[in-house]
Amino acid sequence: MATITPQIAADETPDPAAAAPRSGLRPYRLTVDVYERIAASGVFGDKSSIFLWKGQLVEKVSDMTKGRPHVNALNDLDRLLGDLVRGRGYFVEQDQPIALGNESEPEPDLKCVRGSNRDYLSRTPTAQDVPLVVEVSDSSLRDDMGEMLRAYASAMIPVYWIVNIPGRRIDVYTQPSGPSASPLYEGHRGYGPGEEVAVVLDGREVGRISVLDVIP
Amino acid sequence: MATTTTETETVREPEAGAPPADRPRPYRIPIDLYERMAESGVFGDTSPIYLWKGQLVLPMTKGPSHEYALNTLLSLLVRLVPGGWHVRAGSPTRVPDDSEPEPDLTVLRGANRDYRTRTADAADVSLAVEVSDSSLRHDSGEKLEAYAAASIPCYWVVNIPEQRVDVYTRPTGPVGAGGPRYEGRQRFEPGEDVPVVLDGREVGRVAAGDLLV
Repeated sequence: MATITPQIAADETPDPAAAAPRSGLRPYRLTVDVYERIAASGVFGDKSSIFLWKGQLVEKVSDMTKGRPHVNALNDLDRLLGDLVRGRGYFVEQDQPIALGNESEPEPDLKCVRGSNRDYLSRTPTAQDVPLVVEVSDSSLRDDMGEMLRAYASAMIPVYWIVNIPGRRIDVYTQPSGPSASPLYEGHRGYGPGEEVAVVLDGREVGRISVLDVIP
Repeated sequence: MATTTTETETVREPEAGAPPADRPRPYRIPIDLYERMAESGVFGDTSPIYLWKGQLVLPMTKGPSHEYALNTLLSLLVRLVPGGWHVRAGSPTRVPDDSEPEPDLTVLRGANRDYRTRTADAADVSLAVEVSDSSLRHDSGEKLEAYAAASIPCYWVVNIPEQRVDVYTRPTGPVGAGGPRYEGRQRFEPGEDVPVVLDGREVGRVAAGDLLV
């Protein structure tokens, strides 16, 4: 019987998020293609928290149900970013997949995508299509070592924001290292109440957003 | 309105014991979802993927001594097994704890046609056999424990590295003291005959030496 060779990502890093492979068993690593076929078949039903991460199916962990400040921050940022990018060759979407490499397809809270949504009727945006990813965090940790952050840095997402609700700040990460044993963002800066964050897409500033307009 | 050139606030120390802010948690695939995925053909017809404790896994690759032992035992069992049971090779078998392995051989109660429309589960199995080479550690460890927990009455490991047949009987079921296990353990070396016992009835014997090169 023919076998499928498991896919190995070029920038593979240890994946603690995946269940430890049982002794004597090789995990079957799902690729983005197979995962998208599975998702399209509707077998997940309404389990929208499942996504693909390093070849395994994973669930988004939520420390707590999303409170109103979280939801408001997302919606306000969606609107503010949308206003800035309208007519400038980008669009904004919430909770939609991005294909990172061959084996991961997370769904960041918010992202800017180059082009129009019709460009993606038959394909999922990849890291190359996405100049900005935004996650909203209810945790007070400054999670520089977060697994998602490392994955975005490895995939060369140029700019990554973490909107920290309890910390009342927006952490902006820039200059991704690309694939490496410890991917990271070389540039980091936090913005607090009263400050403005420059929205930089493909190296060009398209406008500014006031922290207080996102986290009152 | 003007932005400063340095960070505006000190970073709070991480709360002791707080979980990481973002860490995806493995999603345990339930058997029903796995079966729908397999049936929908998303894995491709030729892939030997199976489900083990909610994760998709691939078996170890099989060498000639594995195939030889398996095919020899298959033909022997087909001859020995009387009406009331039938033999299957590599057939998906549902096992508790979100698993659906494909044991090298199973002797199931009933006839082949009784399983026309359903997948066998552990309760249907009188004898399970794994031919183990590179998979010995798993077949004698976690898999053995799972089959004992599932109360599969008799489990053989054709132990190629150690050149013997390990026969496990009297499963404790899921709640054995100290963990599920088989209370009966016997070893058969080349030169010895292994009784084939189905639900307490001996239906014949297999020479261990016929299976091991």
